[in-house]
Amino acid sequence: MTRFGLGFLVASALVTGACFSPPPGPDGRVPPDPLEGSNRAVFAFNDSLDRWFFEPLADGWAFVTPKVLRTSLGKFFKNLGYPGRLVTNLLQAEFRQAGSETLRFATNTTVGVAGFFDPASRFGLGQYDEDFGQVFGRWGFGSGPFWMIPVAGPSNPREAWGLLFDTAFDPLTYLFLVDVPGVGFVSGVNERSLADPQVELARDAAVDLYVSVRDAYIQRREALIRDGRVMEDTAPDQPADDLYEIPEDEDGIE
Amino acid sequence: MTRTLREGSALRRGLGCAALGVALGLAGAPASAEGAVDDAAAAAARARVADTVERVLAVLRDPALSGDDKRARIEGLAYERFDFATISRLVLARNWRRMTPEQRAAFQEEFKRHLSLTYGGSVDRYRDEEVLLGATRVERNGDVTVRTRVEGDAVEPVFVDYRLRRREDAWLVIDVIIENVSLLQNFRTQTQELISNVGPEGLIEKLRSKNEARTAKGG
Repeated sequence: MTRFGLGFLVASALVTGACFSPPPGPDGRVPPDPLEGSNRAVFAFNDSLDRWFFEPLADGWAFVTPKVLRTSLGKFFKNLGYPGRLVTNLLQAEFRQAGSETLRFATNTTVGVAGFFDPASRFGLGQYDEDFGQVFGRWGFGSGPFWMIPVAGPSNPREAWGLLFDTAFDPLTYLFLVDVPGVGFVSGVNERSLADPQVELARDAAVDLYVSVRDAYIQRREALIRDGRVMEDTAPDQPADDLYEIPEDEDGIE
Repeated sequence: MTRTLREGSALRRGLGCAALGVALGLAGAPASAEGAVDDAAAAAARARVADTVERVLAVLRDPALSGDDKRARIEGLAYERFDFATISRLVLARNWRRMTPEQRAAFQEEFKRHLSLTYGGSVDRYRDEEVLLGATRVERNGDVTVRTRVEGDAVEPVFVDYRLRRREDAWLVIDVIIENVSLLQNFRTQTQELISNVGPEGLIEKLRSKNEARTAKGG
């Protein structure tokens, strides 16, 4: 499925009234996962689709394609995503990052042979993976409920709108329109093959895979919105401190 | 009290055993008198992570070891270097209070197995990645977070942070944070949901059956 296809899918879902705000629960708080029932069904579908289609395909791709080529191809597609990163950096007033992205794009497109290589990183030009979901988050829009979208995966109304705009700014979308439909697909399969260890880890480590994926998605997106400079080599932004505190009113039994 | 020790550049880690010494040397950045304690803590935690990374990579890259040998050794390292008592406690959070001492002990035992099996599973996931040490930070409560970057096939490196807490003389890992996703938080969410749906016994049973299935198929 290409980004374009995903965008279309999301668009139809949003238009058909999937953009909702859930009623508060009995204790007055919004339930954390009001769509859990349908989300789990979609998740089961997505998971099977991955296990039986995308993963074997990615494995086959990895088998016939040298690692170096897959990494380079990943860099090429990443470089191509520059327009979206430029716009979303600017929309968050991240001018230094937008400048760095621009110099990166210029360097990697020329010296880096159309983006297949990444000399810019060696020159200290950082990459800043902003997207529209982060822009909307930074602007203060609430996320809405967690929402598992068929094929596209974990999301929420805010991120789904973000994905629509990302798709509009993605050159691959237009390659699709001018009749190069395979490109987005190759990009997706290639990405899946490069992400294989992480997917395996997630499946391995989870006790309840759906809840684990939901939580990881929320933690990651919130961290990106709080601080998009994840790529810098500084110590991380920490989750709430109380995560690490043992309550004092209890006797430690260890 | 939160301080960041910034090393000029990330330290490339190979197989050489000189790396531990280098890490110690680099981490001992001079600071004010107040910072000296922090620096010592950061250096000790960092050295611990450096040593662990080195040992794990040495196992993963040893051509003389079988997959099962590697798995067993890495599980052994996990047993030695994670603080399972604290992790279990923090994962259970408020539910700790609602569980009997037997349930707590059973949970801790199964969870320990679960984490060690997951850590041992890196044998299957390993794709010749390099691990570099990044910045170190002393947290407000005295824990130390050590950032590592894992460079593999993917276009971008994956940041994996280890949060360590001092326990007697050793620095033990209490959380692994992958790309800003805290596994502790992740397990806490799963655990809370499972306990409210199937109760503590259901949770322990689920962990147990998953562990048994994984042990049977070798990780």
